[in-house]
Amino acid sequence: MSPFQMVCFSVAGIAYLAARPDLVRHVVAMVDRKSASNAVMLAALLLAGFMPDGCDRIPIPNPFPPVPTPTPNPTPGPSPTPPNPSPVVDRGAWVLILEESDSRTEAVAKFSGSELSEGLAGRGLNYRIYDDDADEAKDLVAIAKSVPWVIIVDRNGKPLSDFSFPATVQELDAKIKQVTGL
Amino acid sequence: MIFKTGLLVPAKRPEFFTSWTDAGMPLLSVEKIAEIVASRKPRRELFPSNKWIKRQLNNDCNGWAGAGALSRARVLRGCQPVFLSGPCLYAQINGGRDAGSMLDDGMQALLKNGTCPYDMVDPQIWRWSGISSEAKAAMSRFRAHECHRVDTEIELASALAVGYQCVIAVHVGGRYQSLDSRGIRGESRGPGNHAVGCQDVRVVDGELQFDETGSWGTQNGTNGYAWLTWARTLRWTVQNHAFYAVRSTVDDPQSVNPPPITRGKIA
Repeated sequence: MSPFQMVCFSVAGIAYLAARPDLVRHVVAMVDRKSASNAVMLAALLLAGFMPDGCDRIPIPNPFPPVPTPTPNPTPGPSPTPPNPSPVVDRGAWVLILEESDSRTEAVAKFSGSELSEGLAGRGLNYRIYDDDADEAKDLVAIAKSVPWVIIVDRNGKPLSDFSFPATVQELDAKIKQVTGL
Repeated sequence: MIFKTGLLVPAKRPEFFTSWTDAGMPLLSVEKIAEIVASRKPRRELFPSNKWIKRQLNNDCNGWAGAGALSRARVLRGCQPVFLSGPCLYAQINGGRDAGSMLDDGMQALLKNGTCPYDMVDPQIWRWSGISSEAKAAMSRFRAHECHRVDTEIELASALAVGYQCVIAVHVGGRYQSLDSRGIRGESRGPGNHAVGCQDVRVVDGELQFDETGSWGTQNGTNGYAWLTWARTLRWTVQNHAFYAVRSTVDDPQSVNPPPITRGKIA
């Protein structure tokens, strides 16, 4: 802003404030009555801040400088943990359950037709329950250490994990997620 | 509407195959049955009647009951859903006449020969000669692996609770076709003239109730399903017929199956 513009704005501001003595009193009170000229200048600056578009805008000084707030003492954060080994994400993997169907356990009974078993397809997984004397179960019998036993293989038949059928369906679900990532 | 039946009453109750208890199968308490059943989805939701209930046209209820039980048992093992043909099973055991069949004959046919998919046989067919060669060739892909005779109420409830599908006999007569406000069939004391499947059990006020899967279409019972009790219905028919549970089934080699397991260390 040029000196000429500043003079013009100041005159305009003074004229405006002359018509608004209440505003002058308010502004003077703001600056603690120390300098009327400062108040007039401040009023002019306030007016200049609301000038129409196309004119320079003058930033309004903040009469209350920010009080610095005490910063909390920095404490050492948790020590970085090594990343867990990422599970194998393998859509099309199979959850194979080997059981002796004449002594089906409560846990397998709760799995059969459960929300977990019905939801596996939506997660990109398959499951199949085999009786241990079925012809199709020979490979599983060779792996299982007891029944019921769970063998998870990838889509190509590569074994990923095998373990005793957990006590609950929830534990089985967690184990499947851990092994397949799905 | 006329509903056909077709279960023949044997002269003597068949007991030549292993019963549930003799095989050492688990007998559960009523409380345990209630707990297991409450933890999973009701079979009626798993097998909605618009897809899993058909209508028999001949005296082949026994074929429909066995085929339906095998169809559901396959799904519960994790196999692809395929509704199987009742007429194909019936044609194997009716002696060349559409005059009904016996429950245990159906079970043995399921174990030995199996049945083909529903779409491969016209529901009006009952003669073995009416079954196409393609349908006959497909039968061995859909067989039961193990079955057991079921003699008592707690055996039936235990079999259903642990997840097996059953085939039972009811008697169409008396108040059988009347359902009370809880969807339970009325009392019928006959010897058993109709075979149905049984897919689920529930415990209501300490009473065991069994979910019948019929073959009279969805206008029968509650959308094709109905609840039965031992006291009203089954204690009469079990005196003549050997109910059975389908424990396991074979894989369909032409369907999606687990790959052969490769040798080597676990990853």
